[in-house]
Amino acid sequence: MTSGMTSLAIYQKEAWYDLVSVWRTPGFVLPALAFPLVFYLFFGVLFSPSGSGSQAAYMLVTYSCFGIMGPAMFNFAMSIASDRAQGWLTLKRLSPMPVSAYLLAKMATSLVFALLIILLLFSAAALFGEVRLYQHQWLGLALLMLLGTVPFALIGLLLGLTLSDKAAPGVVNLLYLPMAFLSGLWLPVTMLPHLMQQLAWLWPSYHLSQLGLKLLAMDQGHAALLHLALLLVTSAGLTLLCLLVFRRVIGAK
Amino acid sequence: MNPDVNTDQTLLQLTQLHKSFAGKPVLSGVDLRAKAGEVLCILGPNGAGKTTLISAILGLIAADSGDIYLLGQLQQGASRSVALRQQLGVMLQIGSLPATLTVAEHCDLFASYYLAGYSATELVTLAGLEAHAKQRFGRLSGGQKQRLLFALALAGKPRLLFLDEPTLGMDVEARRGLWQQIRQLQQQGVSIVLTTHYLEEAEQLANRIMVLHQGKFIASGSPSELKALTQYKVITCCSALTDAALLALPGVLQLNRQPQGVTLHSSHAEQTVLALLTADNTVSQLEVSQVALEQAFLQLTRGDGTEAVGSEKEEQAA
Amino acid sequence: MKAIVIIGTAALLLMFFVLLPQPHAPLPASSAAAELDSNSFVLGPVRLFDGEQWRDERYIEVRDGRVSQLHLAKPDSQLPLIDGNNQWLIPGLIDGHVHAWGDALQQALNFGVTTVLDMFGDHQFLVAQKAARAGTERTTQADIYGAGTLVTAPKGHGTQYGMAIPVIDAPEQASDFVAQRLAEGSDFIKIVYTSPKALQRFAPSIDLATLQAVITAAKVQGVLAVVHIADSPSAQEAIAAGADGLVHSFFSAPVSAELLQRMAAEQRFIIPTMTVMEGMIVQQINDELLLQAPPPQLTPAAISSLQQRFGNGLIPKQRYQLLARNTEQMADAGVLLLAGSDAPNPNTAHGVSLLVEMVLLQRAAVPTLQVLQSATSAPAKAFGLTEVGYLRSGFKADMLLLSQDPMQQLTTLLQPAAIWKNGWRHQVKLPAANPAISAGLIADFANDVTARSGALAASSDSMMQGRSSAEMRWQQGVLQINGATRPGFAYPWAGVAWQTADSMETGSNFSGITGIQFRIRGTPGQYRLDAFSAGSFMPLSQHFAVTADWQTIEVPLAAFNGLNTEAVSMLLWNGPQGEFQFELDNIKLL
Repeated sequence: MTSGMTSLAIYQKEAWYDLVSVWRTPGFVLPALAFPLVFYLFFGVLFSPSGSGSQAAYMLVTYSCFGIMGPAMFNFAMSIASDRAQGWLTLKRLSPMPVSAYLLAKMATSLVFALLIILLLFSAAALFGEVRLYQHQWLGLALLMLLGTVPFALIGLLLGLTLSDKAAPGVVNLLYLPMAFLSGLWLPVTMLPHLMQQLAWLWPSYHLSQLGLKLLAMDQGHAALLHLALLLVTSAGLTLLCLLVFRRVIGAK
Repeated sequence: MNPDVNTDQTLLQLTQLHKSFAGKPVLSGVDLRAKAGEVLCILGPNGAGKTTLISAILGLIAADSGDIYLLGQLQQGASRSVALRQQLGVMLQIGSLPATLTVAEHCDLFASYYLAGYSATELVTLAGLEAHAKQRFGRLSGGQKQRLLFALALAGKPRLLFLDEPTLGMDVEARRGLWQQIRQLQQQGVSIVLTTHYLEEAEQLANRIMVLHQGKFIASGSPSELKALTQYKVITCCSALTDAALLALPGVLQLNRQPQGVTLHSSHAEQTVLALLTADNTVSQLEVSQVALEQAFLQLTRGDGTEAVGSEKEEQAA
Repeated sequence: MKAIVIIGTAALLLMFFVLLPQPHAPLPASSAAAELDSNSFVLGPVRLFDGEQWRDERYIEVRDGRVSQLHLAKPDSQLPLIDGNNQWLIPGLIDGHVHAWGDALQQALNFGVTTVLDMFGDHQFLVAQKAARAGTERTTQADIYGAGTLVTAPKGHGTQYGMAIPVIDAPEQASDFVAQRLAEGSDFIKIVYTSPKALQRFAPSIDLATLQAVITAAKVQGVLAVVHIADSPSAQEAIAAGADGLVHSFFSAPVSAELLQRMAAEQRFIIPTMTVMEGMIVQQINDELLLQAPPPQLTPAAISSLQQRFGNGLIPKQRYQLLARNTEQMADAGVLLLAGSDAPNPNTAHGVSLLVEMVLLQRAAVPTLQVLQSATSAPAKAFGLTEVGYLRSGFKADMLLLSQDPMQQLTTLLQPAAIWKNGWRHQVKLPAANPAISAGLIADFANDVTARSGALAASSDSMMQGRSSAEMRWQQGVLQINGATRPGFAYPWAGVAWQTADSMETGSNFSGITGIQFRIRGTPGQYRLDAFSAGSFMPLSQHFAVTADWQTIEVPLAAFNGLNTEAVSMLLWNGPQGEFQFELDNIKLL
């Protein structure tokens, strides 16, 4: 059996090269980092009434959420669909590499991107948006958003396992953008029509953003535990679904 | 396990392997055995079941029935242990590795998977891509890509190596180079299972060629034995002659008697038929046909061109 | 090398988070708002409860002390902006049942109660305060709407407090009686009624016909008629007679389905006044919510009042469950529920007890939203108030800013982050600490009747229309009291009172005192020493025997069980039954 050291090296290399390979794809990096930042500067800072900084703070949460969703969903969905189509995933599976190293590598890449987005948006909020938060709020928000990548990574994984490499980008966009809008990530959820507000409960992004807003006491006032529970249930459901699909599509144990 | 080369050691054995998709049989009772230091070439036209067979052996799909022994261990279903995978090498026909990683990086990554394999630099050398180590995969030529994939298959110094159409897209020189490497591996005692539709490649490399046709091996033997086999024709008829008389006819090598008649294998069918008709004027339902192997070969030859074209297209797309 | 990169990255990340800007100081909105000297401003962002429901609007625009508009986003306005810090904003609270005099309205406002409904009090007080409620002038007190004098039978409930009030005993007097009340300035009519079917009748009551006639007269003259009841049959009859609302609930029996249905269908309201009943039965809520660490706004008098009990302790605890169940059923049936404290009755104090009442309503399983409505929109609806109870365009900017979500944590009401009255930020003026009184001689009557602190005066129930009497005079180095204790008032008394400080409202701090010593002789008999906590009119008593010979009596302070020693307002030496004369000397604190 593999020694602990060697498997650790596999995990490290896998993660490193996944990150390197994504990092060398400008078509992925630029939109992933620039979209949330530009959107935030535009809607959260520029069009925000000056003075209280509270709209900039509100939008900081929602656009952070918007930002971290993208890389998680796209990296998983597109690269897994493409690795599947190209046979690269099959080759890896026949090597002694543990499947978990492959998935954790993708997760690590998503987290690095999430962290970069958080750093960018936090900087913008602090420098231009006059956002002033307590240290525990800044840190709490950053940690929450990092952890919050999990359900979106799972959605990406599910799509990556089921879609062709050609269909994946389109479908992810088709899910990503409406989900962001309907969860109140672009406009505050309270400004959406009543029906849409109710539909917001369907999306993990709504619950993640509400948890984030809760840190700033700007949420809609539902129980944090409820949001947390719904996120966990969604994640658990997605995990189960991924396992099922994984067995069917890849035929692994 | 004994690391010494032991040519009697069976590294791969299949017995009565069956697999069907949606009720349609793809493999129907495949038996196979490969020993250390043996290059086994599986030859077959498109749709013969080559891919299914390799997939079943490697555990990418589960066989319906039959036993698979890899390195002496009976395999269950579609799972292969990590310890086993440490000793296997696989080169598949795949479109592309992540295009933005360099040759050296791919080698580094794959080298890290194996406990007792080659180092990253050794793999680059094995691929013969020292000059292109820093080149991204996406910028390599088709042949260079194949060489890299071949090198990655060797990353763990495997005892059992599967090569699926390894020379596809290579020019003549590169192909000969690869053949040379395969021969070296063979001498080191590696058991190699190779699928190809280049007859020439099979003749050049294989100790044994097995011809897969409609999910069954219809012939197996050394390249020369198989070549001889393709000369035979099959004569079926109803004849009053005894078996001894029939066997005495010119060219007859083999006889099978069945309720509805006899089947003769002949190396000179025209002379056999002439003699038969002379000896027995009651002969009825006379039929002369080519052996299945020959049909298979014909299809192979036909398929050769079309499949090669298809592969090139695929590569361009990639 | 790798380790250096990792450590370096971690250090940079740490630095990044350390450098992120923080709010300058933990400034609540209140202090920012405090600087503003105007009743026109924009406040936000806040979560806004408008009295009826939680709104999506996050900003409220106030002009000249009235709500001008609610905004989803920060309005483009010249008005100064007060940062609401995303706290919770609700209308100023309305206490649906008080009896106000003295500084009651100031005390109420200190707790965010911006309007009170007085259910019987001095009509002159009402008229004097009414003028203030019309405008949006800067003020330190709550608005008052009131019943003025109540409607009760001769010697009925309401007459026992010592004020001479008009009474009614026949239906024919109803129309004039109501007209007189309205002429005095009453905003609505409050009637006291006990049904003949009631199991217990504590005092005489008007009869059903008179009740009916008064209600009719009120309606004819265009005002509301609300009824004080204490039991189920009286409630049924009052509602049947057309009462607009009941100003108490009852725990004599479960509320009948018929009454529920009728009250809900005909939009009658009820003010359960659970707090005062909690004080009769359970006597725990004030200890739990308030008295462990009394809010700084509470005056010593208010604390005494909160500690005071009805004291008979005879009502089984299950009665409170019955009351709570009745309240829950009424809420559930859709009867309009109003929060009211009945302050300053025992177990209650102005302002703070409305918050207690709201907590009790919530604990009686009334939905929290309805609890919030019960102190805002519900009383406005019930009493037709058009200026308060809502945060909507045109209403007074009476508002409370809360640091926590009241839907989650109702007790956040006890510590509002900010209070606005008429759009002016209200600065709570905390009561000064009571002066401590030291042990030693209080009065030796060597030259006169002066005391070291406060003053001595004769006192009897004649001031409450009782028939007792007392006079005092200085006589050769002693204090001589002549008087008579005669039945007539509910709690007859006659004797001499020592008011311990200049203000009865504050009293003196007796914390360092263990007992009272005095010399006394006089008409032999059973005498009584009464001790009063500030704000309380129910004394705690100790009896002692007096003879014709001088003797020195010592009464330990601890004997007055339940006395608020931090605010003792008065000690009262009462003579025995009948005519008496006694002499008092050398009053000392130990």
